[in-house]
Amino acid sequence: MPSLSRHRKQPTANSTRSEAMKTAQVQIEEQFKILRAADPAVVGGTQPLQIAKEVHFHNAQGGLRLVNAGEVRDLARFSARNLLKALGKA
Amino acid sequence: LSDPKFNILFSGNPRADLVSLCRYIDEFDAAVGLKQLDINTTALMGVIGMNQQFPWPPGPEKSSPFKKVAGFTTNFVSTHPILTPFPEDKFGSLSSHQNAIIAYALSVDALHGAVIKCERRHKEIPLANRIQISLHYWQDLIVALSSCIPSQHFFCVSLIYEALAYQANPDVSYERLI
Repeated sequence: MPSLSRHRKQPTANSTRSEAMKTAQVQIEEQFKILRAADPAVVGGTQPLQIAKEVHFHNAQGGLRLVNAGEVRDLARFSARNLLKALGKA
Repeated sequence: LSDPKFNILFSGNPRADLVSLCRYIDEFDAAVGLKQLDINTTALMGVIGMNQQFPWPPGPEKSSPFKKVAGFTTNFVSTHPILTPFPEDKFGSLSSHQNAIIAYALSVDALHGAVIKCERRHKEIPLANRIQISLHYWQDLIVALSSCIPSQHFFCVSLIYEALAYQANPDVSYERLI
């Protein structure tokens, strides 16, 4: 029977990231304290780090070029020859 | 009766998309001088199957043309469906970048005549002019695209296509404010 310790929950990538962010936040706040002591006009560093909120931008949709069966080959041939011409290999 | 028209990719019919893609690859590769072409058909099917794993959560149906070609480009390049390199006497050090070259060429063709349905401007806006870039830019872009993967480069590739399309169609861009 497997021991319970084998089923202990391991730290996840998220929790590691969260700890790293907290450490970074403390370091940033310390830096701003030093700056503010030298110059009271410094305004940064009083707000905790925040995860950006989800923002809704409008979304443009749209379809790609309309073709029929024969045009697909025409496009490919044109593009390939155009490319060879640009490479000086036409 | 004239032949029915369909979107060159993301037509809503995966089989039609696969046929279009095979036709394009076959004709392009013949035109650059290949006599024989080896294709990983499983990888090619995977490219068409990307509709289920599109790199943008709302999916291809709600995507702009730029996101559609970025999804195609990043999936196509990362799965390497074309195994045969292009002729070295024509493509030099880029001869092994055949997947990026095909993906970019097809994307440019697909954007030429694509339509943006803009909900902010309440109208459909065609991309009437074809993207054109310098040879120098093309060379660097092919190298850059050759190592792209959907999860990391989808948005950047989409923005590259969008910027190039707006450069060719300056009236289509939103007002430049920032």
